[in-house]
Amino acid sequence: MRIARPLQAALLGALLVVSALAGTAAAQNTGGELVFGVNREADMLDLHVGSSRYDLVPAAQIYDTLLFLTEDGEFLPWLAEEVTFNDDATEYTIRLRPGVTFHDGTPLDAEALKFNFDRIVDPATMSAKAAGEMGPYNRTEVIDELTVVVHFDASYPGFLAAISDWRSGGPHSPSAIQADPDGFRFAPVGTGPFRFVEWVQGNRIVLERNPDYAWPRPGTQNDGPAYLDRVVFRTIAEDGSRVVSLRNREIDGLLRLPPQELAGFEGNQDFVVTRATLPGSGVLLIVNAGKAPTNDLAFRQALLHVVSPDQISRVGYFGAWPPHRGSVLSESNPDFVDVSDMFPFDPERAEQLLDEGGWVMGADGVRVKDGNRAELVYIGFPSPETTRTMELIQALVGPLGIRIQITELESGAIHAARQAGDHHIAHLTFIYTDSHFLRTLFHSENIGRGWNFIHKVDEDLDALLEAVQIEADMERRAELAERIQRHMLEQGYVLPTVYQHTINVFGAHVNDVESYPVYGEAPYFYDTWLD
Amino acid sequence: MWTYIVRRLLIVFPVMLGVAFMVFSAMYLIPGDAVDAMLRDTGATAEAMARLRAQMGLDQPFHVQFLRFLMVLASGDLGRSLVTGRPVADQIASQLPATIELTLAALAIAILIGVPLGVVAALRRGSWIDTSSMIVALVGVSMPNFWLGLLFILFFSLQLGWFPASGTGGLRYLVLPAVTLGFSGVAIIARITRSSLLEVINADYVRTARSKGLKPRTVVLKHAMRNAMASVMTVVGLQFGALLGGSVVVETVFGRQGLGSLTVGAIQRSDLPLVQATVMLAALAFVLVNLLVDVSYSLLDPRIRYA
Repeated sequence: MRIARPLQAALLGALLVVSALAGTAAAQNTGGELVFGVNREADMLDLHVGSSRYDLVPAAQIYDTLLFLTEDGEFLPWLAEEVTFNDDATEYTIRLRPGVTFHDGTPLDAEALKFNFDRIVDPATMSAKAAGEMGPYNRTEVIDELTVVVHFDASYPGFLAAISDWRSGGPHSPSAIQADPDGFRFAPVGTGPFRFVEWVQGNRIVLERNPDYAWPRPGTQNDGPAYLDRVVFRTIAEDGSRVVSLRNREIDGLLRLPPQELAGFEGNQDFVVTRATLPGSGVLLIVNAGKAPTNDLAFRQALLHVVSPDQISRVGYFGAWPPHRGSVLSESNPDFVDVSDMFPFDPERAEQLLDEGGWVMGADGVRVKDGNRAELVYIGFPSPETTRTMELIQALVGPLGIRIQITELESGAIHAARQAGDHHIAHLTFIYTDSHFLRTLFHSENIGRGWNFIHKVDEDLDALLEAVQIEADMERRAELAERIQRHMLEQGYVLPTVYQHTINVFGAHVNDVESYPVYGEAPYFYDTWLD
Repeated sequence: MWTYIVRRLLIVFPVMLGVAFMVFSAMYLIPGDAVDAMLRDTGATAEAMARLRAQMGLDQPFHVQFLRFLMVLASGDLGRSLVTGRPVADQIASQLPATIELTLAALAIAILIGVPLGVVAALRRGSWIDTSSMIVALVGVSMPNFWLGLLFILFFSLQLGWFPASGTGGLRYLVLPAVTLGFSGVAIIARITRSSLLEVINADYVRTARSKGLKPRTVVLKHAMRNAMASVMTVVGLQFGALLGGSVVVETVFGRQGLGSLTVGAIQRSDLPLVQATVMLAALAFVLVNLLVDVSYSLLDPRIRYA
């Protein structure tokens, strides 16, 4: 397998999510400061260590990645000029692009890359997330100045996705880290189009243009240094204040518009709305197949016929987050399959399934089978969107003789409750790109201690999840992922609701903001310029 | 007097120990920890979570974790944030000035508006001034901070464009948050000033002062107010605590940096050392301010003596 294609402009054009003023490519103004309001401050900008998704918003401007993953699931060369791997995906040869330097002048060479990989997996680093992305990493061998071979103890096809992510694939400057390992968390040095200036905790993170930048991401219009002088990330936690600050022009753009605010911005000439679907599970309701009444297949399938993603999107999310068309992968995941035709909204079919399955309507309007009443407990996070979703579902399943009790808990409590199997239906969202993460979520080895909240041992499913994790052939891998997605829905283990969506808004004076096609939440300001 | 102050200061230690124990217990009893908060939604395996938990010492039993925390505290160090690794003391030092600025501004607003409002209401008892100022006070007490803050943002920021809706900076950035935070204080201080002034205004010594022919202004300010102030001072002391607590909400609403935002972030991340430190700091400030208030009684009222 070899990844080193010439850039195809036509294909990449589709990646440009937003262009506020189309056709003005020749007239970009240079200079100016863009202030971007975020709802939560980054934890740290040493991505080898941290795990917060909010770290990635500034980090996407500071670090580049070895490969770039397109919307179509293609891995394009970026800092890595070429990546090849052996048949069983245990050895990856990475040849770096020449001439790339970190913001501190350190060259990005084979030694620097080896330092990065070794540091991520070093227990002393206490990596919360990146180490997981390195899979069964064994060592990195330096071949020449720009070439390394990365060795794994077992087949690891997920490595391509890993090095398309800033955490394990966005080189950090070795000299800066060696000079001050702890300080690096708050004064990062990468290779990206913007370099770090200052971080006033609780207030702002300031970046400035990297004047030496000359290794653009595939598909960008620009090919030299960025247009903006500075980018400021300001923390404004309260949704209402962030929105007013944008309307007042105190900030030029904001991260994560609450769904109910979308109507006020979409179609408004003064603003540009960018939207992106986050990769991963989307917003799922996991069904506990380990206890009555949801241990009954017909019962679970009946739920699928009434829990309508379209209605949830409309009612729960004001139409702002799109309905889920898949099963356990979002449309932005490379192996996504649209399976929305498997269980169309059909309350009559749901009723028929329940009748045939022996669920008899009781005098009090609740169905019963073998003494088990159709009364379910839902456990999820407190959020207006999920509360509305669950109230809608209550209304949809009520006429079928099913009752749902809504329980909302904080993140720690919810995890314990889901692990214990206190729920019949549990809320789950998970962000990941590569299908090997499905094993973490749904393999029976993770019941009771990990993330499997289905609470049923399904050997067929386990076999598929084990296979997808090590399958090196991309086509066979996609087939396996499709079988998993269909199986999860056939068995009624999940009720898909909506895709996890990020809506960012900018003033109309901000041009050419891109979203990352895969890590959709992070805007990318390399091509951006101000009127 | 000094003995009293020293004794009160000594009591601070067991109080702080109690606070530490309560906060630690509460955070410990809440299901989930920093690792859960950090790795939620990230695809981390059970092994990875267990490893991180062990590295952070979160797999240790309660008493071990608590004792270790006390030892760190006794060494004069506040430890490091579990999530970001920043030294807790540095974080507090960087956020404290903004919160002090906000709290003092709010307290000043509460006193400078609340006391005169209460005095006028008491002197014009039953008049429209009395009624309307007490209605304002009632609204102030009843209205939650975050709601008032959002209303202020909508009106003064979005509609009129007078003040920025969010941020930390100069005076322009301080006005709305300080008024929001001080508003409930205005209400409470006005009500207390009114009722304590009414209690003393008909007292014999005030009648005597009046009958001696002193100017009404002197009677009220020098004779009546001085006695009424004792209970007002108590409320001001309590208000300081309420303002510190309120700053958590107000800083969040107005996107200001400060201890409040720091605490909220720390709680969201289950960042125990940081939560501990910020809550203990607030408790310490509360205890010390109330000590100051108690001492000030004796200055206001020579009959009060501490031994």
